Amino acid sequence: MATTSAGYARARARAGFRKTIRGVVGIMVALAVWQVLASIGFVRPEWFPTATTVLGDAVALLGQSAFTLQVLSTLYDMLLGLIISTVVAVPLGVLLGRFPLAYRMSSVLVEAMRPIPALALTPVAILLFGLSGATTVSLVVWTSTWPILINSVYGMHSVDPVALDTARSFGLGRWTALYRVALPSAAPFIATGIRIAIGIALAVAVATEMVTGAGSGVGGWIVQASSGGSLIPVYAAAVLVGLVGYLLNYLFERIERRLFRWHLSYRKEGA
Amino acid sequence: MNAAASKPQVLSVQDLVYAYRTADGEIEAISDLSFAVHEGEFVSIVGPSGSGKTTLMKIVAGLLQATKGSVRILGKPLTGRVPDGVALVFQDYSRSLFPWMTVQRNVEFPLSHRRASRADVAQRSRESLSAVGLVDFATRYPWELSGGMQQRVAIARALAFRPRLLLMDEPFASVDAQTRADLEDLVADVHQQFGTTILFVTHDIDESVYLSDRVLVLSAHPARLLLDREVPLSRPRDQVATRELHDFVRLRAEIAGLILRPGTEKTASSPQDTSPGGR
Ligand SMILES: Nc1ncnc2c1ncn2[C@@H]1O[C@H](COP(=O)(O)OP(=O)(O)O)[C@@H](O)[C@H]1O
Ligand SMILES: [Mg+2]
Repeated sequence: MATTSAGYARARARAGFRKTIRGVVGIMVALAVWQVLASIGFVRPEWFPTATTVLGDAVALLGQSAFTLQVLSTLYDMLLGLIISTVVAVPLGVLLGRFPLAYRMSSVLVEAMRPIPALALTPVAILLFGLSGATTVSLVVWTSTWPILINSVYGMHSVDPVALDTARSFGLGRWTALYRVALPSAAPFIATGIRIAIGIALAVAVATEMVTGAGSGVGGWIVQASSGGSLIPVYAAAVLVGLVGYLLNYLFERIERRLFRWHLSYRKEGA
Repeated sequence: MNAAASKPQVLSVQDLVYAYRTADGEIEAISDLSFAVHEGEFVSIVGPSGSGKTTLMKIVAGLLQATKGSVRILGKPLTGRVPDGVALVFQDYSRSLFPWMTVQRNVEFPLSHRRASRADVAQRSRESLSAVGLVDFATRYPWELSGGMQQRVAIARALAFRPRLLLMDEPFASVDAQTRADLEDLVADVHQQFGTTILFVTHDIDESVYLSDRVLVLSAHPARLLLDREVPLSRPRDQVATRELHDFVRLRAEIAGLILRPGTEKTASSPQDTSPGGR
């Protein structure tokens, strides 16, 4: 038993290492292709700079507080939006998942609102909140709410009725059983919803800032930088935004893996 | 042996009827069932699968409400609430244990929302885990254990609850033969050691005779009582020797005759309406 689990751990570590190597190789190849294409020079270098130029510029940007402060501002608005939508969507999803009638009454409405893109609502948000961070927050809330809500409902629907019967048979009331059994069972699904929301929230935050402009956030910074005529800083900022998104996702996945070690989908990878 | 009948009734079921309401109308799972279980008794219910045994257990545990008839626990009628002092070990043990809790947390689960001191809870869970021989696995997760060990965790959890009536619904239906024999003896020990009143459901005729003081035989769907018989075997029992005894063999044959060839018995006893769609 011990040797097999140690064997598993070793095999897992090897597989993880191989996956990392493949990822790094993929990025290197893409950068090389980019470098070669840009060096041929069939597009003006201000519009299509080489990989090395952009990466150099990105590293330089990281040292400029004028830029990093904007990144922090975007992250702040995004996280605030995520927190608000989590606080709203999780309890709502849990209730909708728990009461079939409420779910049936609301599901068409949810399906109809979900595809409305945040950008289509920008004018409304600007009217309500002005050209400020609040507009960004509100649109992040709009986009993040749906995946969190839907996954919370889905998580509640996947709660094993035998587990609920067990809780009831030991004398737990409906609400105690909800809190102690249904919620923990549904938690991995809720977390998946939040992870999906994180992915789109950053994109929506930056896009909103580009529309509201006024120099706030990474989006605002990009709009201002591109007015100078060169696209190099735009690319550099885009690379950094991508990196931030990747790190956020990576971090959240690590937390999920640790918290939900017990869940079927993590039992192999979890240690 | 008949001493049990003079003890107070822990469970009394009178004229019980249960019908599931489905989209295609009502499905009668239990039709007119009456029996009683006395304090300290080990009673088995044996019946073919689909006969309504799980339905009966859920009604006694307060998870389903009887369509007609009455169920009393310690003299108190069930009134839509989950009765005090009844613990149910589910047929599907792997689904009834909580995978996010360690073995110990699972065992403490029925105590954790009651007014009990931390020390008392820990003491009780340790006691129950040692009764099923799993003290060393307290910090493991259920899904790290074998099926037989998981079922022992479920039994320990029910014991920690210190039930006045322990309900077990085909608890050993999905473990291998060796594990099954071990678990049978474990439950028999628990019954002797703690004096727990046990209502044990199985579709295995041998198991029902081997374990219990009294066997109730249910008909195929919908459930009716075909036989209520004392088991004339002394305790402690032995997996090999007991099963060779004349009394054991005879009772087993009688029950098998009722379950496997129900037609012959029906004409012999009082005429009963044959319901369509048995199994
Ligand atoms: N939720 C349900 N809805 C409708 N019919 C059910 C339901 N559960 C069980 N039944 C029916 O009731 C009968 C008895 O089921 P059950 O109590 O599970 O039998 P057993 O435990 O003896 O195998 C079966 O015919 C089964 O099909
Ligand atoms: Mg059953």
